[in-house]
Amino acid sequence: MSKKEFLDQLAYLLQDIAPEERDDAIGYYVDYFEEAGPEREQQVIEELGSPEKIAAMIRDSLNGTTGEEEYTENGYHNQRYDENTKMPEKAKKESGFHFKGNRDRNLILIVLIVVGTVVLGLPLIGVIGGTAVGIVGIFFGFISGVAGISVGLLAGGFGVFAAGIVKMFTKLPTGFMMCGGGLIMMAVGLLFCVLFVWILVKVFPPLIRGVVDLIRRLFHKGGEEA
Amino acid sequence: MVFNTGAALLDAIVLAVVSKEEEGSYGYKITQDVRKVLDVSESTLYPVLRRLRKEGCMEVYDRQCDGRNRRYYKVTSQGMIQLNLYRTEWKSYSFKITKIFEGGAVHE
Repeated sequence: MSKKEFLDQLAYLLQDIAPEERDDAIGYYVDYFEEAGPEREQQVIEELGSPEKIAAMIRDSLNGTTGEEEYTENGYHNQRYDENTKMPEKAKKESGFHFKGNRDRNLILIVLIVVGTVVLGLPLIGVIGGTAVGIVGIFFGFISGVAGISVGLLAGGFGVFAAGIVKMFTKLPTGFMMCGGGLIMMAVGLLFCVLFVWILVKVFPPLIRGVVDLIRRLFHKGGEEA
Repeated sequence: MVFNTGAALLDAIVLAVVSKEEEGSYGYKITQDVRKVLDVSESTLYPVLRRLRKEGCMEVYDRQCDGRNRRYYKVTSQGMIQLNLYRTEWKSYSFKITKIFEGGAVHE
């Protein structure tokens, strides 16, 4: 972090306090850097600590809360900052985020939105999604069942019919019976095939249209609420 | 230093350091002077100086120095009264502590 970044960050963090307080505080640290000189710049930045910590100290000073702090052998201590500094990742994240307006209020709003989404949104999405997947699953299961029966009967019937023809050379009656059975099986298979085609042509397109319509309506409704 | 420094003692030290200078002192120098006796972070003193100023113990003025502005802090008369109070308190406090440490009974 350079001196400029440090001061810019501090100015940003203090943008919602009274302008004269902000100018005074930033002026102090600008002065401080200049007195320290360029060769001590990096050392001063390290010793000063994060702009977040300094901003928090200045805010506390504005609010006149001095009860929590203590100047120990290791310098200034305040439980709140110590907790913050224990989580460097969190602190880094915060410095990356740029909230407009009151930080605390924004945080509360974000928490409410997240909680609301989790509490209301996720189960709702889960239920709708699950139901949709279930219905689609049943439908496809049924279709593939019909197709499977159809294919099975056709193939099986054909097999039995072919076996019957072979059998005719040795045992004529059995051969005939098998040919007949095979033909019946193929006929039933064809019926299922017709059912399958009928579903694909007559039932499938309106169903898809209905589902798409339903989803569109759901999203439309969601849009109105927001 | 093993002992913690409370806000009042830090106030007293800052007032004492600044009052030593006839024309007042500026942030960087105050910090360095305090750091000679107390291991405070460089960031600690701004809130202290600000508060002492708000309480009327210090006043500021700007002075040109090497072609730029330097903000000087000066102890006010009210600040001197406060500092003298701190001095008296410290004298009796440190006297009692020293007595106990060195084994004597405390006589008021």
